[in-house]
Amino acid sequence: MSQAKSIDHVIKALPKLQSRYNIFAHLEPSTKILQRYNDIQKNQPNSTLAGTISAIKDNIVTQDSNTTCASQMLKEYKSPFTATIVKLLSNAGTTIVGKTNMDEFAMGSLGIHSCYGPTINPSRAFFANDDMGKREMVTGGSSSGSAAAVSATIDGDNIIDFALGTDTGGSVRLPASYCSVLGFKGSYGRISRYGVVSFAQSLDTVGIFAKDLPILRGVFDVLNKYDRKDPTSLNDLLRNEIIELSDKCLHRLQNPLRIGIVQEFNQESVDKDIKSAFHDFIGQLMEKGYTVVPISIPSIKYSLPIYYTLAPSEAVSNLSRYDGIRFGTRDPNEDVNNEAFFSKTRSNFGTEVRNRLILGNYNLSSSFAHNNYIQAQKLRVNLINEFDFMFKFPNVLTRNKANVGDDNGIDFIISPTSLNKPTFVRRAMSDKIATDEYFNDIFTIPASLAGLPTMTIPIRGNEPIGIQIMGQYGDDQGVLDFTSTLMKK
Amino acid sequence: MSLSHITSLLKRRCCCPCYSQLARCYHSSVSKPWIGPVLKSNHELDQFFNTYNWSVSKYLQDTSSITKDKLPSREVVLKLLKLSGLSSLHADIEAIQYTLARQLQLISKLHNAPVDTTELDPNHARLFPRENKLLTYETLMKKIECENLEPEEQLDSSNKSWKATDTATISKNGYFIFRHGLLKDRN
Repeated sequence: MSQAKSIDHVIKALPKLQSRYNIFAHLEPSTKILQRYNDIQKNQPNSTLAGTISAIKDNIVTQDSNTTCASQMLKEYKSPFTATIVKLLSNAGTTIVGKTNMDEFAMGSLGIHSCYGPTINPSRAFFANDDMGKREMVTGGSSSGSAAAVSATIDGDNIIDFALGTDTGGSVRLPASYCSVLGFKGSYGRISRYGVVSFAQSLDTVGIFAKDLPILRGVFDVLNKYDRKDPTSLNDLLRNEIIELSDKCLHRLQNPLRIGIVQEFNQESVDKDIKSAFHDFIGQLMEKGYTVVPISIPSIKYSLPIYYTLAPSEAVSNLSRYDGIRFGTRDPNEDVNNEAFFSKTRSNFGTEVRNRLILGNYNLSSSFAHNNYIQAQKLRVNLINEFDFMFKFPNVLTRNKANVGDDNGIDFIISPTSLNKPTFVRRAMSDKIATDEYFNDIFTIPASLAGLPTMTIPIRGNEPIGIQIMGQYGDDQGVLDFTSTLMKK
Repeated sequence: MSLSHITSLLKRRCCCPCYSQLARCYHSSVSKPWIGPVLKSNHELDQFFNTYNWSVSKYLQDTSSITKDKLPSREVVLKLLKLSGLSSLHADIEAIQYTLARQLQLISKLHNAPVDTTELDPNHARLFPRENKLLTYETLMKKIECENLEPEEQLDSSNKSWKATDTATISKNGYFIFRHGLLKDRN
């Protein structure tokens, strides 16, 4: 499955990837990589992912190396267990070479909020020094290192075949778009989160980066399993029901697919290159015989406020365990002073994490809440219902009436992935207005709130311009099949 | 109905009764989702792309034009820092006030949504089946039985649970240690 390359070449290339792009939070020793690779060649040469080289985001726990979430808070943390997805990948024969850089605790859209420093975008990197210093581009975040790992080449060769990231509000799709690679997040609950450090558990999903769609599909097939250890994992009854529904929808690939383009995503402030590429892409679909229909999902207008109410509130709960006693780099002297419990230990959090904790506590505090949290939940329900109204494929979770057998339902929604192209690292890091970063998530957050399977694909060569393909909840195979058709054409 | 007709309706923010020809439209006083007619030409596609009914940059403008009188008070920020377990000693309170004000400006849009939420169940916001079979005593016992058949190999075999204190920097005899005791006369 892997593109042919020697393991020696990989081992020599990895330090170069690190020094150029700051991709890894932890890189395995060469001897360990070599031994692992050779063991697979000897003992499981025919396994699904044999011969592939991979990397995983540093918020996915492994027993044999540190898991830091790119935070000073977890600098020395080693988990007592290994995530289900890492076990599945290992059993399928991949060689994992390291843990990748990221925005701290997956909070960020640019890949700059990391205790290891920013990840540099390989497809947009400039190394000439001029009066502005190094002009390097951001990768997007929060799965910055995973996107960069797949995007980067050494001497023209791809080194990493695939990488895992996590996507809470767009953290796989945005960096995939910025780094011109494929990025797929499955339906919520498709891929086990057991051993994935939680940011916002009602939104967190695991995603896959690759340049090559068959590799991405192979990885998805390995990971697409119920996990009893993850209480949010989609159970087998529903998985089987979805398979039956998918079989009934096979005719979709013979008939012209109905593609929805969303009026609320039609934004005047979209970068002009992104807008023109997206416009051209939809025009080409029409020329090829696809049926394109405008649709309106009014609740999309409220998806950013919904997300920034719910996600920080959940983060407050998830990050409360970092008190130094149970988890976290403990202050050497004291657990409490006259200010707040554990405040010295919790000063290990970076600025963006602190900003979101303060906001989350505001949302949850009875003194200030103004019912923000409940209102956000209700509007999220409304958004899910509006998505259900669009699709032919029924939603097995909500049981809302679907558009089955109705010509007006649509098969997939297509939109741009990002509002803007990547900016310079220096500019992003000097930007003092934290909330500006939030707006680039406008296209990715709605699918996260509804738990929809979504793929981003580059549509203009190596330019950092991607489009998203969204399917109904559970219709992951449909999204992958449609992506495959598009990429063949 | 032509696309130009639809776009003109959209510009007037007119809702569903006007879309009676469209197969799937709701009748309501609030914005509802709709699926429009098939786009048949590049001209219609151009029209779609040149019609805007909402702008996210408006949110951006709102959040970047915060004035001092709209800032949350210093006392509010200090209380939130305490709730968050964060120190206020070296914190830039004014910067936090501005950041929080911008965040709240964005979140306040929740209350402008023209949606009747009275019938919406907030419990449905979680992405789980909305209808579930009742869990009986028998099914619960069966589930526990199945769990016991598949022991987690990484757990401590003696008590089938994590040794929670193994990851702690300071512990004694299986207990976590909390330093400096209980607080007295705390603000």
